[in-house]
Amino acid sequence: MVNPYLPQESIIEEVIPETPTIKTFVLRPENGLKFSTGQFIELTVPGVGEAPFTPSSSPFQTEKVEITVMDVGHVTHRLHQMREGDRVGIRGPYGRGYPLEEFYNKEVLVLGGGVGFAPLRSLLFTLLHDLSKYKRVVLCYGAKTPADIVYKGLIPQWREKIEVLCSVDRADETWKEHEGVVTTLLDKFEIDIKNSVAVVCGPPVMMKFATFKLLDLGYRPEDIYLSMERKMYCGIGQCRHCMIGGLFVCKDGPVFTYSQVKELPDIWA
Amino acid sequence: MDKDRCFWVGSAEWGDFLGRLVGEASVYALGGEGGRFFYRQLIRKDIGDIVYNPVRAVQPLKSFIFSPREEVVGPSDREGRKQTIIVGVKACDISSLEILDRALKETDLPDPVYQERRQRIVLISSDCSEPQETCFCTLVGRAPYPESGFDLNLSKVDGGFVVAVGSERGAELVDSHRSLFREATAEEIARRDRDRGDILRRVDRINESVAQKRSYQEIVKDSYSSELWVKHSESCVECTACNNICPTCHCYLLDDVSGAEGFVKVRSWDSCVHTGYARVAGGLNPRPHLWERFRNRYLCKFLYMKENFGLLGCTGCGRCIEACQGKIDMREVLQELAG
Repeated sequence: MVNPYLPQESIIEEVIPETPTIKTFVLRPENGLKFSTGQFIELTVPGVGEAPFTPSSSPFQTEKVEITVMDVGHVTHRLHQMREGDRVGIRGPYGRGYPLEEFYNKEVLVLGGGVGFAPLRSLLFTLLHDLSKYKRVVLCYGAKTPADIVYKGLIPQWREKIEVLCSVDRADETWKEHEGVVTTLLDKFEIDIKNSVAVVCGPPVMMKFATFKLLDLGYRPEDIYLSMERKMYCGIGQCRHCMIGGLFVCKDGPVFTYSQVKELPDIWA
Repeated sequence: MDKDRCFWVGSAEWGDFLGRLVGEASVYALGGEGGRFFYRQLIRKDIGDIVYNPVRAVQPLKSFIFSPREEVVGPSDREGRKQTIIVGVKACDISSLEILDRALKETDLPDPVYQERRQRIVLISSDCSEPQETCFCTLVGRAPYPESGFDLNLSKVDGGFVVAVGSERGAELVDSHRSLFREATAEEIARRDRDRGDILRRVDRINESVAQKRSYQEIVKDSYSSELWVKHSESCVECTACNNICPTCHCYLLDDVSGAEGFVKVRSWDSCVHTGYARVAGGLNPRPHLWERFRNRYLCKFLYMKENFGLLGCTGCGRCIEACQGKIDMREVLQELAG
């Protein structure tokens, strides 16, 4: 009998500091990991606990999987103390990722905030893998301060292939780009809204105001894709902690269109 | 032997039958008095004291299959365990297994411990004869006697039992002790059905003043914004007894055991009434107020589980009413919400 709770042994191959509170962990699972972009895994820190993360790496790379993690809770704090060579566990992948076919031939607006960039990096790797399938890709990314920006080395590379706009809530003397919350970037360019989808991931408050802004601009609720965050244990639709109304974030999500969740209670918590 | 057949067995022969089973399996049966009955492991000398009919046990049936706390990944060996035969299970608890089965077994990735325990359980149910003031199975579309989901069902008739066979396994049990049983007569079955009708009407009478025209599903759906949630949750002390005693509540959390060799995971019951139930790292909580968590429990039972499993998450067993420290009666809450 398959035991869905049993994790796969994985070795931490590399730890990449992104910001003072965010690190990317490169993991090598014993048997590799096949996943679709936007699906998530349950990561076990042995003896400590489990937490769900959406890989930030490309799904075309299956022998390694990367997660980008903020030191914010019990499990993530202990993970942040771990080093190369340490052992963790992985279960999954679980849930439904981004429905890429829905994005074909459209202008894809990717809107990220803070560590919410993690799943979007995986999505962008996927979009960049065959950019010809999409009419246009625009990335808008915001962080609190310049020091809080993740994947700093990657952004200039992407600028050569897609449009990238960055903002910080509070600029310093080094900052040459936009200052303001990430949604203010949406006033800086034109987009063919009727032929566009918006993909949003960030802290709940950012997702809330981004969604309202997108609706104001004329996006239809079914064209706004949100990564919902909830307390989660099992990852397989049983423990019920992640429920939003009658939907399981782990099984029916974690990616939902706004039209799927807009009538449900407490979606922005 | 076909299932759906009915036999008759005398009380003494039934005792012999159980005596034989006690040697082969772990047998549990109801004992107790004053309307409070508990499942107890059966030993031969207690066979004469078993309480068959009155009403459901204090413990929910889930405690046999879905333990409050157990290892789901780790060294424990579950091979070669004996069958567990439970005698005197009531219809409301049989119904609860429909929910638990759909949640934990009939899924893409079944819970292996639940599956293994479930497979070892043999259910010998019996009709209710003494419904309590807290019983309301008929308000949630169920009855005080089981119609399916059991292996054997007992209905007390004339110094013995009409034994209904509900599964292949039940048929085998009768088959292997066939000399103790005889076919039930039409009169015996008619007598059982009359008794059942009487009990059904008694449950209806108990709930006469709280019965609603609209379904609980509709009432809860239309009451989302009601101010009554605050009022009704005022006496809730967050003891979570309602969650723990509920036969269909199955929310759980997973813990990793520290200092263990390899991965060891323990699954424990959790309660949606707890403040921290849905709180995420960083402190955000979709339901920070007690009344929101209180409301969520009703939404889960009457709306979400119906969406998830096609069944209401409430079997009308009334345990939550009996267990509540704040004297909250689900039926009265729903009645007020209905307006």
